[in-house]
Amino acid sequence: MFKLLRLLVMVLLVPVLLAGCLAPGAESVEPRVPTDAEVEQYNASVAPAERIVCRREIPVGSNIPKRLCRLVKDVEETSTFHREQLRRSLH
Amino acid sequence: MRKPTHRILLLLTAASLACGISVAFAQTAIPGNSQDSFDNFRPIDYQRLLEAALVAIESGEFESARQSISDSLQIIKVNHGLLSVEQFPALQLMTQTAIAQHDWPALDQHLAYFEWLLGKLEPTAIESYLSGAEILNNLYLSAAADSNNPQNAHYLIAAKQLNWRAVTAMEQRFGKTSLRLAPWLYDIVLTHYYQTTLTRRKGMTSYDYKSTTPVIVSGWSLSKNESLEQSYSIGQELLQRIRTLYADSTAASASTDAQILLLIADWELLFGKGSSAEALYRTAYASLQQANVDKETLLAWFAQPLIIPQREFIATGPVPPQPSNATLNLIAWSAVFPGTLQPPGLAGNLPLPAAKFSATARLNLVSNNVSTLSSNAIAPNVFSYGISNLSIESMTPDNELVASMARSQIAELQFRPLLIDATVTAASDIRLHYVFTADTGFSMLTDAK
Repeated sequence: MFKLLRLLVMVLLVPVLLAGCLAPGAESVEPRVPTDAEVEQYNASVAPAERIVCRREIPVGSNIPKRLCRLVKDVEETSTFHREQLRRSLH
Repeated sequence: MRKPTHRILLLLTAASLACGISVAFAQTAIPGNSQDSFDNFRPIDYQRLLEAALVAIESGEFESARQSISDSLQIIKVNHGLLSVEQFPALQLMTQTAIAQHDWPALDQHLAYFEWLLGKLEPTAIESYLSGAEILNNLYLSAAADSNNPQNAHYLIAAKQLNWRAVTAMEQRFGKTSLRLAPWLYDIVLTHYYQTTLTRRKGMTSYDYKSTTPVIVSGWSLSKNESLEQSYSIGQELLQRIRTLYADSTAASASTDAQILLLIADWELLFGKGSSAEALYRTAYASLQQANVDKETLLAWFAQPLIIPQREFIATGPVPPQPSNATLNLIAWSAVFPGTLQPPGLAGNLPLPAAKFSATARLNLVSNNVSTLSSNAIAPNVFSYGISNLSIESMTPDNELVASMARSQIAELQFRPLLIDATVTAASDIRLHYVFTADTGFSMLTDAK
């Protein structure tokens, strides 16, 4: 009887604990990353700075490549920032 | 203080002077070589001017031609409006003339104006927009194919982007399931193929991204392999989309599906994925057999040598069969895209100089099922299908350089495998007449004459 009760508590508790691992407000479904063709179609209709670039990257702490998409504007800003940081550290 | 009558007299004088100047200006605008005067308000005159421009181009008088085209454009704007579609033929001719003259700043100016004009049309007149987009797309491809142009890749990308915008406009107007999308989507697939021929060259890596804008995005240029993989993936996705478009339409049939399957198989073969290509060719063959297609039609589909990628999208049936001993006649497109045939839309109205160099070759087509042993495992059979025993029978002019160039360019052609009774079959003794483009690097031979 005690065993059965313990099993029941486990069955009820495990999903609650797993749900707690999710970030607050996060949905269980990840947003769909656009395909190459969709990206190309989008890029053809927007200004150069608004274009997006997608490529497969291996994130830090993992060996599984992941497809990431970023705004060209953001990429440029990040590159400028990193160049600036490098320049500061060298001088 | 002047009297009012003086003012009126002054105004009248100024007005008459202005009229006189404008008449004089209109008269000076008559093309230098044309003895006939034209009237800005007579619509018929612009066609006469375009005909005169064509004659001038044929005789190599490009400046005179440009003047006539420019005048015709003014007449069209006056008579039909600044945004009139009647400008398209004149703009086409003007741009082709700039390409023929290697006047790249003028070319960019005409292309930018054409783009602007199309942008004004898009929301209101879809048919006019599409006809203009088709013309402009061909102009971009012509610019991309000119070996003297330093920005080939830029024009190729511009053609692809224009095609995408046309697809977006059609999706908005006709819906995402319209069959009218199919040829436009296939054109994008072809542009990706042309792009890969550039990407495969040494020293051309990452051009595809860099050339879309004058600004180079640091750290985000694609590598050669990434670029090839992206082109393959986009082509595959678009061909699958075309297949779905037809499968969900009233035009769905076994032969249409087989035709599109063949295009998908071709795409796999072009990117070195021989095994999946072979499986798709067999599937296409089997689906036609199941649909009770007679043997003659099957032979027409599968038993004649065809160069891939297919130059245009045809979903209606097999290519008409040729006599078995017929010579394959091929006209190369451009020295920029070796081993690629001229897109059908590019045979425009500009009388270009005829190619003087050609070669006749004999070759066999064979399949290779190669079992490769990798370091840790046996890889599956790799299927490939290609040319063997290539020999040059004759060439014009009779020169070893022409023969050598013919050998290297013909070797780059890719053929669809021949299937007889669902089995990939070798073909022997194929005769091929290969005509080089006018811009192929034979200048030393031309100079020696």
